[in-house]
Amino acid sequence: MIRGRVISTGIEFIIVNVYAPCDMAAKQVLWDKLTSFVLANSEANLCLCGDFNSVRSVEERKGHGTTFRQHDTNIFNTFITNCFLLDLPICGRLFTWYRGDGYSMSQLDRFLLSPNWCSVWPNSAQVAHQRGLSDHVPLVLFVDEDNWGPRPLRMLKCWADFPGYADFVRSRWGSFVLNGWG
Amino acid sequence: MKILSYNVRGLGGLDKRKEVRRLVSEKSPFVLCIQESKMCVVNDFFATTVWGNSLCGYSFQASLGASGSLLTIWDTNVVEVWSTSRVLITPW
Repeated sequence: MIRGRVISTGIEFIIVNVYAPCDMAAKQVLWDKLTSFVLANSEANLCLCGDFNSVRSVEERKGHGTTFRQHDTNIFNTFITNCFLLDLPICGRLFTWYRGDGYSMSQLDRFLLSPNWCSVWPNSAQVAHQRGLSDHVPLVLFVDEDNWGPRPLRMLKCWADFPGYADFVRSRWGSFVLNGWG
Repeated sequence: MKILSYNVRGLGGLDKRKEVRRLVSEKSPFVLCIQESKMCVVNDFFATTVWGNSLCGYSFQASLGASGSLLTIWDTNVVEVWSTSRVLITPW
């Protein structure tokens, strides 16, 4: 756990680096400890990140021969709900861990954010990157990157005064081949 | 501003350290959270080899046994960290 501030803005934060044990009893102890920590710092701009070794739903795990552990999912979800943490949708890829057999994969890693973190940095987004040497992928939380959505289409009225403008637009427009929707 | 989180499954090997260092230079996060570094000891020199050349601070939690070991490194040009703490959960 580190507690500090961004030098340029003075905004304070807490970042908790988490590696959850596989053992269920130990995991419950960790969720309990983290819950009291998060609730004691409920006004903080708080971010938990790491390998939680749990999934939130059956969709977050894929594979054959693996049994879905409902209790594990339940206590993980209870922990997130009790802490009022926000789990942003993951971009880039759906799974963050791959067994390597081509079948088994899960979303074990994530960022969980406090409501205050999200109001201070409303453009936060988590992106899963390409696999490297580990069987987990690196995850990036974009904190204050500006996200203005899709670029708007603009045209200047004076363009229409150029000779051949209408023909140019018509031919270009007709040349696009589009699939899907935008 | 970015945070990079990675369960690296061991930072002892040179290739892994190179990979993390490449990720740090590519993404330039202000905080790097490593899980399962599997290191027993981390010193200033080791943290610098993972982070690259710029100034950094770090916090390390060794675990019992071979797995685990958390390493958190931050950019001291971008953030000021005034406290760190570590908790180890043992299953027995």
